[in-house]
Amino acid sequence: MKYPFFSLLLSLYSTFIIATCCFFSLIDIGPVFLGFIYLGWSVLTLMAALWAYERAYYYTQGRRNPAQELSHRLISSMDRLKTYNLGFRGLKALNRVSALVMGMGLVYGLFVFAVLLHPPANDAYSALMAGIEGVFTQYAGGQEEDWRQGLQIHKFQNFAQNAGQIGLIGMVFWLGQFFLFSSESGRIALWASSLAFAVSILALSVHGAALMPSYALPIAPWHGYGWGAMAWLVPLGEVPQNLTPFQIRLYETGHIGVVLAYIPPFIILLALLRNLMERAMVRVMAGYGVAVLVILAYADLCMSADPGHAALNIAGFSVLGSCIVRDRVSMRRIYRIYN
Amino acid sequence: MRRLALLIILVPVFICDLAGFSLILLRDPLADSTYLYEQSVLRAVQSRENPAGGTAEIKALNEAKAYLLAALQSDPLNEFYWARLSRLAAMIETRQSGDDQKAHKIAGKDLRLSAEAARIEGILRGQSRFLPVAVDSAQDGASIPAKAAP
Repeated sequence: MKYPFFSLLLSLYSTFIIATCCFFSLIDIGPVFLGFIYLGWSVLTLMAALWAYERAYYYTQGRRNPAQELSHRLISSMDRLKTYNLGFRGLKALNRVSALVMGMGLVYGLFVFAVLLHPPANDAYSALMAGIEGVFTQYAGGQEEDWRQGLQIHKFQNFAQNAGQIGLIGMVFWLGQFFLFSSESGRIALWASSLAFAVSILALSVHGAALMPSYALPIAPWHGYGWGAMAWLVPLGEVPQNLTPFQIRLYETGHIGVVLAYIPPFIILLALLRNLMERAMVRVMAGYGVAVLVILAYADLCMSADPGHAALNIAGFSVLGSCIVRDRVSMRRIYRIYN
Repeated sequence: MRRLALLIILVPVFICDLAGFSLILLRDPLADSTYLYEQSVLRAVQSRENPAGGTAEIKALNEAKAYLLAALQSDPLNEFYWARLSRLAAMIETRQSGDDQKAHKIAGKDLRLSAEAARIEGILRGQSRFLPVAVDSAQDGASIPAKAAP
């Protein structure tokens, strides 16, 4: 194996993306298992980023053996040039498109967090809470304050699950670019992501039902009720049952949240449209990316909400990361081998 | 500038780390309460099979009710726990009403709790009405088999 660490990263990525999408699509994941999935992805991404930095900026030739023959020294230097290129090209994934996508994802997360801290008032919800409080005050033996804390813990767990999912989407988007920028063999990552995407579509079409939702704008405040509000919005009759992810987002994060959530895919769409003006191979990839975006939009707007949507988004953004790559220009580093 | 660009990828990594550690370390507050609740219900069932276990049964049922209330404090929007509480409180009322002294002491407190829990369960199920109190679900931990006739 020529570049063992890069190959290890690529293998791990391909395995993780398929496994993660299968987990999200096919089984009911508990919070602890979900936490380990998030940690595994963050470790993999950090490994890839630090490895690329080390190759590009901190990689030295090491101690040179003056007794070594010139031919060996030349071959060794050329090998180093190749690994340097792997790392340096991988850093091209830290481009403006990635920065904008990650930045807007962060803004979206911060906005929802702000809503979580200051949720809007709702009469039906307040009445329900008053009823629950009455029960605890009368029957819980002086521990009536604990239930609000329990409610906060559940809200925070829900927020962690959703925020982690956004972070995971950002990471797979970056890793998809990283592998394709780094090496020709990065296409394996694209194939793996495409396979995961196909599995997710299949699972979603089996579990989820296509809806024809009416998009009369609901009576929702402009900032929504926060992530996890569907747990009480549906039973209290504030919103109808069987909604699409778009509608849930509309109720939970309001109109601002919907706009913020749709900005990253819109940025990616612009990047893909730019690539459509390029040479033939890049045009094919851009067309593939646009098709993936259309499928994601259809699932978001017209299919009933299902855990499989998370898998579809993760695999879809991973494919999109690979599709916006335009070129892989090798850098040439001049080694002074004769002194 | 290139080195600063590392921040782009560190943001989602940091978010995922934070979310991952939160989900792993944030202990499920329900775990203990539900386990203890189920143990108490089991004890009540065992006491019921014992001909002289009437007081122990009521004691175990009251313990189960306390644990169920604790579980509900951790997850107050869980309709299944409200349903269990409603049934359990109704069951305690039924058992205690057989004992004149206890019946006099509680004065229908558990019956009121049962009705209130049923009302909240109804709201959470999207049916804003009182539900009939029934002790029939086999999968419900609060279900206790009826005492065999002597």
